[in-house]
Amino acid sequence: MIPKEIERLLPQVTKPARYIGGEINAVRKDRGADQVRVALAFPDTYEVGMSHLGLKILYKVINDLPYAAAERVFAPWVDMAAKMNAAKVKLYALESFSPIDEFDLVGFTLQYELSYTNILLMLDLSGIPLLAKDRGEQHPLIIAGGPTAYNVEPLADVLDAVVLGEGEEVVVEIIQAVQKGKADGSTRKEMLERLTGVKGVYVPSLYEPLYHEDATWRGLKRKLPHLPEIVEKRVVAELSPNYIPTAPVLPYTEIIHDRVLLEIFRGCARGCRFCQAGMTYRPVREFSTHTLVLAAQAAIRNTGYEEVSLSSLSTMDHSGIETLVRELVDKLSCEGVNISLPSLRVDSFSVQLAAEVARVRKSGITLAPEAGSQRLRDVINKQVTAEGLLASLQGAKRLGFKSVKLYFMLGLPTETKHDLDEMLGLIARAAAILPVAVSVSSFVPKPHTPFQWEPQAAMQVLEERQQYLRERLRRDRRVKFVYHDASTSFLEAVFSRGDRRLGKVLIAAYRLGCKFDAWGEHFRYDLWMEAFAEVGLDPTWYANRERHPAEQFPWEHLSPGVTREFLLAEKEKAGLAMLTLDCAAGTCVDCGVCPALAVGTVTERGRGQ
Amino acid sequence: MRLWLKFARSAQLAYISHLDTHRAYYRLFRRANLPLAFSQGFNPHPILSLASPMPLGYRSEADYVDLCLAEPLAMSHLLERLQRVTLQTEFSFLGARMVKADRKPLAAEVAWTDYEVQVLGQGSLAQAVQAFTGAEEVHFLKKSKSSTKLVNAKPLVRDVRVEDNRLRAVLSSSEPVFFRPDEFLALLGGLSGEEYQADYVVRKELYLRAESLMAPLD
Repeated sequence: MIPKEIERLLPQVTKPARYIGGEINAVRKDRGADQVRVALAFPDTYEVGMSHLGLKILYKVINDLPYAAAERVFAPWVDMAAKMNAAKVKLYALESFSPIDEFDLVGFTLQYELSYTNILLMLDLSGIPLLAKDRGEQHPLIIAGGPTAYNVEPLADVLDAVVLGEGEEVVVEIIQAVQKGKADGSTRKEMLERLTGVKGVYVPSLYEPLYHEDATWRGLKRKLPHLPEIVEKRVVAELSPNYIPTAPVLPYTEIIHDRVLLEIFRGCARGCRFCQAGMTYRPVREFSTHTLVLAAQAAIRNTGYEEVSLSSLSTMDHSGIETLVRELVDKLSCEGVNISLPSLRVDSFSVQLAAEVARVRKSGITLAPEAGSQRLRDVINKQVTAEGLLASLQGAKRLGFKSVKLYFMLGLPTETKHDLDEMLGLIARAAAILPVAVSVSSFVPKPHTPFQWEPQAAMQVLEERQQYLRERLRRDRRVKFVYHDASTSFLEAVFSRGDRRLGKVLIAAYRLGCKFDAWGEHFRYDLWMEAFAEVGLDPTWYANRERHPAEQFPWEHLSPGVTREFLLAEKEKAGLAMLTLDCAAGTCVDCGVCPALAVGTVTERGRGQ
Repeated sequence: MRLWLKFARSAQLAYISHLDTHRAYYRLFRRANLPLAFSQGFNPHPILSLASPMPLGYRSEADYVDLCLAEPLAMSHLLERLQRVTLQTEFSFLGARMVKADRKPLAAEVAWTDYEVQVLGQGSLAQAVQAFTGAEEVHFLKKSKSSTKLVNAKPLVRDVRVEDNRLRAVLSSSEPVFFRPDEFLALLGGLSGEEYQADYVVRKELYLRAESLMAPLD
């Protein structure tokens, strides 16, 4: 039953189904005395968070443990947040309606920098102090993990502990440590010290940041002698079928990805130089076709969904993709289930396969050449040619597709007007084949990538280039042109390579009213700039400054296994427009992950041999 | 094969919309592996309809689904499968009957709805109901999107009583006047000069257009 004080708010807010729980496959456990209670917190709306694969996986892994229970909590939309504040209703988890501050652990996922203020919003609504140092024995431990954990310093004052890498195994170890701590009556401090013994866990408060006189990062001083100097990510050596969430919670209200998400492999070794995920999720590990077909069938049986989406960083790169897709179509189409391929590689084979699975309507395909000129595509190591792209489009047209969506990035290192003109040329040639929707985002230099030393192009430059393209595409009726707001990319660039001092800016921005920054209608650039001014930090120093090759970074104590030497070598090759091939195809490129973490590439093809 | 199916939903699911409810039943039937019949055409959809939409926030112990199957299924199998997929969910499966393929949609046959209304501050509610029962005619202003007109409520109420401090009423839920429980409550308030507020409303049953009250599965 929904508690009365919560139910009273529901008629007053939009989409109340976000706040009621009670979904099919939701797990409600009886509460045991020594049970470790975990709130899995997604700092965005229900519809966004419920679409996230990681949440589904951890929910299953934790609830499969007899001694632990996982519940879900999302950021209430602004109307509900205001009502909860006014009625003094605390943020609650959807399974038991228990207030979040009654849990042992609250685990936030860090998917994108622009969700950080929502973490503060959720802590605030829970009555939990925003800063780790202000929390007491009665408060839950606030833990976080996910892609931006690799550059977590801006959140260091907020989080009690941070987990690097894949969660399936480490989450169990953390829960066991907490259970032991509870049994021993450990204090909060003792609990956190115990957690530093778990591989992959970083406790920021036990390290003190040091800066050079020019404000660049000097390193961390350990407050205890036994602490690891560098925290390495966790990686699951071989993905077990037991981790596949085949009975995901089935929402009542429509979510962003309202279908079965079938992760077909993890990691991507194509080595695009702008891509953080491509560096941090290595090595490639594939599920076998056999496992995936069984998992898809089970998930369909358990949910009633009509669509299975094959998810990964680069779906077409599964070494057995053709067999996999054919078998899935074969086994599932009789039950009225569609297979969808979210991202396509730019080649005719991918287009062919996409046409086969699109049974009824072939609406459009999406391809991402990322850069307009061959030179610039070589710089970013995106191994796509204009001829390849146009041949794919010809193929797509022949197979009955009606339109194409093309993704580009603006402001890539070394980009000039000449590259933009080549982009326009490429778009024109594509539009001669099929109607084109062009979507342009702004390049954000990311930590742990070969471009971590690069400045982001100044906001004004990005905006000029957007207008340059817009002016020239405006009159072409075959082309639809959209571009992302440069100011959000700027803020993302600040926080993605930020240090611990930015924590104060984050708090100040939240106090000024910033939240849901990833939602255009709520993004307040003016308030963010006010927050920077208040704290006395210059955001352009973080976003637009070129780093010296020898500069130490505030993320180098958090290691995904890829070495600095490899990233530097890749940066140099980028300057020379030289390519680096995918290691999954054969030759090791010496990125450092496999020896450092004692893991290796696992492919279906390799298994078969 | 055409079926009328009856379900109840827990109070927790009062806040899912009509469209969400429709989708929830569709997925429930898919999980039950029922051989659903689909409409012909460019964008086939299952032949499935809910008997009567409800305002967001009302609870339902009487959800009726009118459903077509592509091939016959033994009733015992149907019951077993629907019971299995509703186990440990917020839905309960309450019963099924086969109907003729050419019968009107259930939605077109429903004429009355039995509501239970938990009323806040209901000291004089029983007297108000008595006054309503005793009167020849009781008029109220029926508002719709386009107009407001004076309507006699007497023929719109088939049965009314106060039971354990709750109002139970069978109200018209078909053309020409769809009488909502909140409108009835306001009318009763007018009779006693008090303001009643519903704590919650439960739809207990639906009745077909007939001389005597007859539920769809009767």
